[in-house]
Amino acid sequence: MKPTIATRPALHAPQGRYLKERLIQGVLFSCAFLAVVVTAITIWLFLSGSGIFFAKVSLGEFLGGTRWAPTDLSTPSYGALPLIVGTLIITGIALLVAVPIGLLSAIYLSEFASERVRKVAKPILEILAGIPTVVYGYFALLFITPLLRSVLPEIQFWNALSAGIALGIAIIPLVSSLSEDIIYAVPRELREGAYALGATKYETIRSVVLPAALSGIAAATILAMSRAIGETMIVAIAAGRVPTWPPDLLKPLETLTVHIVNVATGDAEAGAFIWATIFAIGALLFVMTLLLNILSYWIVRRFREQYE
Amino acid sequence: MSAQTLPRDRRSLTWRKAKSTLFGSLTFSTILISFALLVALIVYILINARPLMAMRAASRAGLVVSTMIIQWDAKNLPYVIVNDFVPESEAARAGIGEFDAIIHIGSQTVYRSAQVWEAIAHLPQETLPIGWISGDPTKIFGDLQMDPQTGAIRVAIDLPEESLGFRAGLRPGDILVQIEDIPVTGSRQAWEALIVAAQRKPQPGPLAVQIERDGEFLTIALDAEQTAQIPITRSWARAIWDFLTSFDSNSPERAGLASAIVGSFYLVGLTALFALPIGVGAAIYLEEYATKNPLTELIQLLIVNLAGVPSVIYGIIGLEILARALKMDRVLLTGALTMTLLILPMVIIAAREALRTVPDSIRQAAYAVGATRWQVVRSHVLPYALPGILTGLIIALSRAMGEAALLILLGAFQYLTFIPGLRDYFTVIPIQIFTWIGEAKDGFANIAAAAIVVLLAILLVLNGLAIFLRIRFQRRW
Repeated sequence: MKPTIATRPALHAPQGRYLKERLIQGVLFSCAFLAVVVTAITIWLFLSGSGIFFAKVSLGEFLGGTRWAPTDLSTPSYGALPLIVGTLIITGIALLVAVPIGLLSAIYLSEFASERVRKVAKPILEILAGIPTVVYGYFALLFITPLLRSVLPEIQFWNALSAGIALGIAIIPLVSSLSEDIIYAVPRELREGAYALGATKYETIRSVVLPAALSGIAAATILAMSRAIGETMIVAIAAGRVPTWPPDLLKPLETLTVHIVNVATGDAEAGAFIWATIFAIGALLFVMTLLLNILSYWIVRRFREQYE
Repeated sequence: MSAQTLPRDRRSLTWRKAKSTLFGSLTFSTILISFALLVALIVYILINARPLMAMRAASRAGLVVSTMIIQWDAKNLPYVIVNDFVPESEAARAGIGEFDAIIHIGSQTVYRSAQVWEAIAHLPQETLPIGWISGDPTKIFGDLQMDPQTGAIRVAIDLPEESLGFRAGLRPGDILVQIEDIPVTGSRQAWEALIVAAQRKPQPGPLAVQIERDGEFLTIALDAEQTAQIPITRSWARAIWDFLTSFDSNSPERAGLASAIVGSFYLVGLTALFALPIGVGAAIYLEEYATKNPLTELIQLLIVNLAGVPSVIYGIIGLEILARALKMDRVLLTGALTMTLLILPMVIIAAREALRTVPDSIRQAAYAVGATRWQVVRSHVLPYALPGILTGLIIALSRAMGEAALLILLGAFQYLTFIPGLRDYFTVIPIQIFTWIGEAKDGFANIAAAAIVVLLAILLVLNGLAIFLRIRFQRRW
């Protein structure tokens, strides 16, 4: 490039230029401030919406009742326990699938894999993460359930087990990538110290690397749990959309998120009381996932400070 | 870590080393499990999508079929009918009309619509040898009347001479006793008996009908089943084109993705339009302008938290605030705005990371020649960060492309037979898949699988684009 002389003078008066800068900064700030606005609206919306719900239903009945029948015209009942327990069951199954597979994959990727294998294995997990959840729902309903039926003949067409397993497959990448980051972050010195003492690779991983990464793995598990609680489509497709009490793995069940889908796809008119239920359920969902997210964020932050 | 002591293993070193190898293989096997699951998923979806070609070929030939059930003493006997008349089609030319029952294809008896598609997929030549029974019983027996005293089923006086029954020797006043070995007990049941009796034959042929005429029992050979050769054009290209360009329908052979594809691209395009400036603006503010103060801290914390909020929650916000309180209704624009809220945290986080990779020396050089803060950002930082920002945006958009839960709340749960516009009700591909999975009729599971293939192909292209951007414009400082 030819050297040119930068002599172009400021065309605007300094005053105008300053004003323009302030204006742009204001616009950029309002973009960022949107996060505060959205959160405030969310909290206000769920508080006021739940207000309508809890004016009619007591908190005790909502959290302790075992019959969820908001569409029953003669004797409606608003005990959300079947939904809460249903959500926890599905989440539990999903974690039982995702945590062992995800964690062992993470250990393999960070401790055993050669660079070439890593280059193949990581994209596979990323592809699994990128598959939309309706696809997992389809897979659960039409592939996993028939497969389970060959072992458990009494399993029903819609059931909690296959939905939970599919959800677990869907969150394997989340668990593995988060845990891998954390296991990878364990300083080399710790491993080398163990090797110097004569430990084998397995002993090093079991007694040094995993304990050092434990808080991070816990954070990853909590984040996966929060994802599982908020997951909607897999459960809506494969778990049957019917609240059952007592819950049974081989039978249909309903989760918090699925109730919201049921109301949205139902034919209730705007303003009907059933719409108030989605605020109470939504608020519960929001609080549950928020607490889990904050907990895992806090654990990760605390952990990171250890080595930096 | 200092207090940690290694467990003492008294066994031989060989054993301890073997344990390491064993554990390594165990961890490796989990990768294989993930891989196997991915392969199983994709293969299963492809297998399920395979009948699409035959279904489309059948529908083009006029054979839009569905499975029906005859209920006889607690038994469900399935059979196949043509449930949609397509004028000008090959089937219409052969005389096959609505409600006609398809009994045989070649020498194979068909009970379910899936068998028709299966047969078409495996035809050795481009014609379909089909045997069917008219769905209009009067064309066979004329009007049947039940004798009020005896309950006998009698052929009425007005039996047309061109009817199949008359040609087989049936005359007005005859009583139908049995068809093959099935006793005739009702006028509708007589037709059903024909179907069931014909299904028992290995191929189209006359059925033995026992009748009572003037107190005498006679057996006539009734050629109820007509046969024809229907030309079939089998082509994957045509099938895929038809599938992508037709609207939703009650018949899986005719249902397509047109409205859903347009809806999806419209929605994701609008979402990109909204999310890119806002997300980049927020990221620039947080990276380049914000000072460390409690408000900045709060904004950062809220963005991280908003990234973890389940999508149904955003759906409720969009529904109650945008669609109802602001009276925007559940239309495409509302969907795009709500989707923007969902992916904004992702876009902001990715954009911040991209901005952070631009080294400070670039900024300082620009400041040194007298640039203002905005000039530094616009002309120096943003151009370098742009590939990273776009990669993050595309990954967020592919999430939006596959998102269904949020849009169900915003009314994308629609049966559309038009191309949606900005202020129209709409549907998107994932919702269309969800709707089709919920349909009980044979064939909807297959087109749901085909729609999944389309969705995955779109996502593959999007992600390929992101990878291309990353590799093409990646810079190391």
